[in-house]
Parts: sequence; structure tokens; C-alpha cells
Amino acid sequence: MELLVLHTVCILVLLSLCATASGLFLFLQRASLLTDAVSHALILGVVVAFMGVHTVSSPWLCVGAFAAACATVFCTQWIVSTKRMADDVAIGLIFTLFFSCGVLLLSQYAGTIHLDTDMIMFGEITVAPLYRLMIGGVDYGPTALWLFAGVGLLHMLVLRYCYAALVYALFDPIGAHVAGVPTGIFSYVMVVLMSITAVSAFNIVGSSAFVALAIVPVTSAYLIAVTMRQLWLVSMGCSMSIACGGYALALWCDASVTGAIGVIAGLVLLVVAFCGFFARS
Amino acid sequence: MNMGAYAVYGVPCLGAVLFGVLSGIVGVIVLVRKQGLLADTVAHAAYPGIMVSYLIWGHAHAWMLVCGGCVTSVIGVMSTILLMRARGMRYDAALGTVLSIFFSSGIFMLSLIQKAGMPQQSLLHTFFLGNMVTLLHADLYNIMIVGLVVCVFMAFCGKMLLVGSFDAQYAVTIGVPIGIINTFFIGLLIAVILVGLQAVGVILMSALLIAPAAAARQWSSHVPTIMQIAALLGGSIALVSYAFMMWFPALPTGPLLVMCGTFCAFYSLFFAPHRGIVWQ
Repeated sequence: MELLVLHTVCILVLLSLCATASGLFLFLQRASLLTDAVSHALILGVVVAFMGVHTVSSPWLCVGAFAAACATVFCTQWIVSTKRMADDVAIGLIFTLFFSCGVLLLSQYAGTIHLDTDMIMFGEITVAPLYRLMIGGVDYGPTALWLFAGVGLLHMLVLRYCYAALVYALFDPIGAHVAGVPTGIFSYVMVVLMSITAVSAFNIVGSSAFVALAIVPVTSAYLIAVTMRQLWLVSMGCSMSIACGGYALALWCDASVTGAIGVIAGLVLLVVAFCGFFARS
Repeated sequence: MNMGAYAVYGVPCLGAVLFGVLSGIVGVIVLVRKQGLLADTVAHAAYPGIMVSYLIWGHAHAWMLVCGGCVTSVIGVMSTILLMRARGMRYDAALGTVLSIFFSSGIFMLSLIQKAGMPQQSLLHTFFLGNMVTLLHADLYNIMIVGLVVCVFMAFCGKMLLVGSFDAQYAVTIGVPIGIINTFFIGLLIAVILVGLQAVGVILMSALLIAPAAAARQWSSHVPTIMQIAALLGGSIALVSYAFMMWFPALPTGPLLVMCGTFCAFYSLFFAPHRGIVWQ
């Protein structure tokens, strides 16, 4: 029992760190709401993939979700490039269209299969540590833990090799372009990283908690941080406390982990805002 | 048609169509002011309020739930404004923060309600993806009252609202009280979203506001004309979705409305005369 709780906490902490890392760059690119759009739209990919393979635990579901996430971003950018709709309208239309298609297709299977809207919106954290990585009959721990270790490693690799150029492109796009930094590719890289994280996270904490973990720690940190280094440290700290606090609250009240993460995220934001307010005055 | 059939089929149908017209009209202003994401946040922020008033008053009185939702929506809008006061905070990040915190808190309360096993929970689920069939006489009157207020507001302050939306500085110089008018419009937006929440659902509410207006924008460049087209489209979208619901009762309403709405928007994007992509 204690081991299960420990595994769940480890999965949640790794997940929240990955979500916050990908949310931080989208925040600086003024594209925070892409996390919301992508995490809703991927339901269409999951359902279409399910109609192809007819099992819930297939990796094809993740492939479908990733394809839907990329399609959302490309469709949105295509509509904006026609100059006939503003970007917020384009995002609002595309992700709700994908989400609605997914829900309508899913309603055809209502009650007959183990896949429903609640599962995709709220995730199933309780069963996440039960899926084990078995190689040659040896138990290497929960699959989700390895998955997020991999996603985290991917984030670290991208940041290790591109960090300076990324920050340059964010704060001085014209200068970076003149200096030969491929600014267009970088924004795609960050969106793809975020989509990978969202796809890995949706069946564990659900889309609403993923959005909370990707946006709230960064906004909280932005209220008090002055340098990029402080922004990283404070948002990572907030992210871990939201994940741990949310799980503790959920265990204490026997409530949904997804919801408890949102409640704790609100508390963390309030605390950080008050700290910033009193530090300044 | 006898009175029983009217209460079962006529009231929800009339309510849905009236709400479609209303969302079309208000959606045009939302589009002009680039507040589509604010509408999304208002709808999500109503969710915990609905749950709290259900937890307090127990029985699912529709209007008590709506009042609770109204309170948290106002709190949500106010916290967005407060967050925006922080130096250089992005508009979309502030909205995303409020949206995700409020919506997740609602989910937290829903899970507490489910654990306690309180009665009449099915009504709470209709707020998630919406259900037109659950509209009653009281909801119909609410939609009518809000619609009347919107019409009166548009008739008396519509010009000032538009001037303020397109060019705030000019509006101030000619003496338009844009602070009061903007606040009043956000209040109206909250009212419109809340009366339709049960029919359309929290997640897809913003799409129903945006889609008819975005479609109508492709057909004209004159705001009153766009508003008329959007009202017509909003009403027809609701009517068509209602007809689909009669044929296939298992389908959720919100997604149906959004499918019809986005179909209109994309058809207009491609085929509208002069502005359509196909003609160029």
C-alpha cells in the first residue's frame, strides 16, 4: 500500500515537472491557452485510434492523440494565415470542433466499453501505478514512471542544447532571426514537446489538471520572479508542491485527484501573490 | 398541439432557439472585442459555483444553481483583472490560470458530491456537456428576460459600445463612459452564458458564442448586418441540433450544437461571396 502511494507521488511529481517545463516556454510565447486547446482536442485522436484497434491499453491511442494535437496546431495556424479570423477565434473553433467530434463518436459506444469522457477529462491516477513495466518476467516499476522519466529527459535534452538560442529567440525575435537562429522551428519544437507531455498525461490526471499544472505554477512564479533562473526555480517549486499537496488533499478527502490539484493550485497562486505583495510594500 | 406536448417538446425547442439567437447577437460583440477566451473563462468559472450551491441547498433548484454560478463567474472575472494588473502578465495566461483553477475546483466538489451520494445528481452532469431537453418553463423565462435586457442595452448603448470596442481613445475623447459600458457588457455576457449553461454545457459554451459570429463576419463588413446574420444562424443552429436530438436521443447536445456551428463557420470561410477562400 505504502509502495503504491510512493509510486503515485513519484509519477505525479515527474508529470508536473514536465508539464510546467513545457508550459513555461509557451507562457513566454504568449500561447498558454494552446495547452488547454491541445489537451481537449486529443480526445478525437484517442477515439479514432480506439475505433481502429478496439483496446484501451494500446500505444496507438497515444499516437492518435499526438496526431490530433499536431492537427489542432496546424489547422489553427492555417486559419490565422488566411487572415479571415483572429487567432483566438481560430483556436476556439478548432479545439471545440475536435472535442465535439470525439465526444459524439464516443457516445456511440456509451456503456459498452471501458472508455468514456470522464476517463479522458479526469484521468485514472489510481490505476496508473498498477500497469507495470515487465521485461523478461522482471518487474521494473510502473510504466508511467518510466514514461515520464523519458519525457523529462527529452525536455532536458532540448533545453541543454537549445536553451540559449530559445531564450534569445523569445526576448529578441528580430535579433535572433538576424543572427541566424531558426526562430520558427523553435516555436514548433516547444509546441511538439507540450503535445508529447499532454498526450502522456491525459490518461493519468486528465486534461483539466494538466492545464492547471502547465499554466498555474508559471503564472505564480511570474508574479515574483525577476530573472529567468528565478522563474524556473519558483515555478518548479510551485509545480511540485501543487502535485504533492493535491494528492495529499485527495487522499485526505477521498476526492478526485484532478480536482484536488486545481484547488491546491489556487491556494499556491494566492500564497505566492500575497508573498509578492508584501515583499514589494 | 396539446399542452402536454408543448411542455415536453415545445418549451425546450423554443428555449434553445431563443438562446441561439441571443448568443449570435452577443457573440458579434464578443468577437469585435476579442473576448472569446473571456467567455470561455466565465463559463468554466461558473462550474464550482453550481457545485457549491448544490452542496449548500441540496435539492437541484435550477435558479439557485445559476445564482451560485453567477457568483463564482464574477469572482473569476475579477481575479483575471487582478492578475492582469501584475506587471506584464499576459492576457491569455491570466485567463488560463483562472479557467483551470476554477474548473478543477468544480471537479473536486463534484467528486465530493458523488461520494456523499446526494439526490438528483443527474442535473449536475447536464452542466458538463449540456442537454437542451432539460430546459423548463422557468429557464425559458430566464432566457427571455436576459434577451430583453440585451435588446434594450443594444438599442440604447449599442453605438457607444461599438465605438469603445473599435477605438477606445476616440470614445473617451467624445465623452463615452466606456468604463461603465464595458462593465455592464461583461455583466450581460455573464448573464447570457449562465442562462444557457444547462443547455450547452460548460466546456463548449464559448464555441456557441463564437461560431455564428465568425460565420456571419465572412458575409458582411457592416456590424448591424453581421448581427442580424449571426442571430439568424444562431437560431437555425439550435433548431437543427434540436431536430437531430429528436432523432438520436443518445447524442449529447453541446457537441451537436458545436458541430453545426463550426460547419457554418467553415462553410462561410470557404464559400462566402467576396471574402471566401474559394473565390480567390
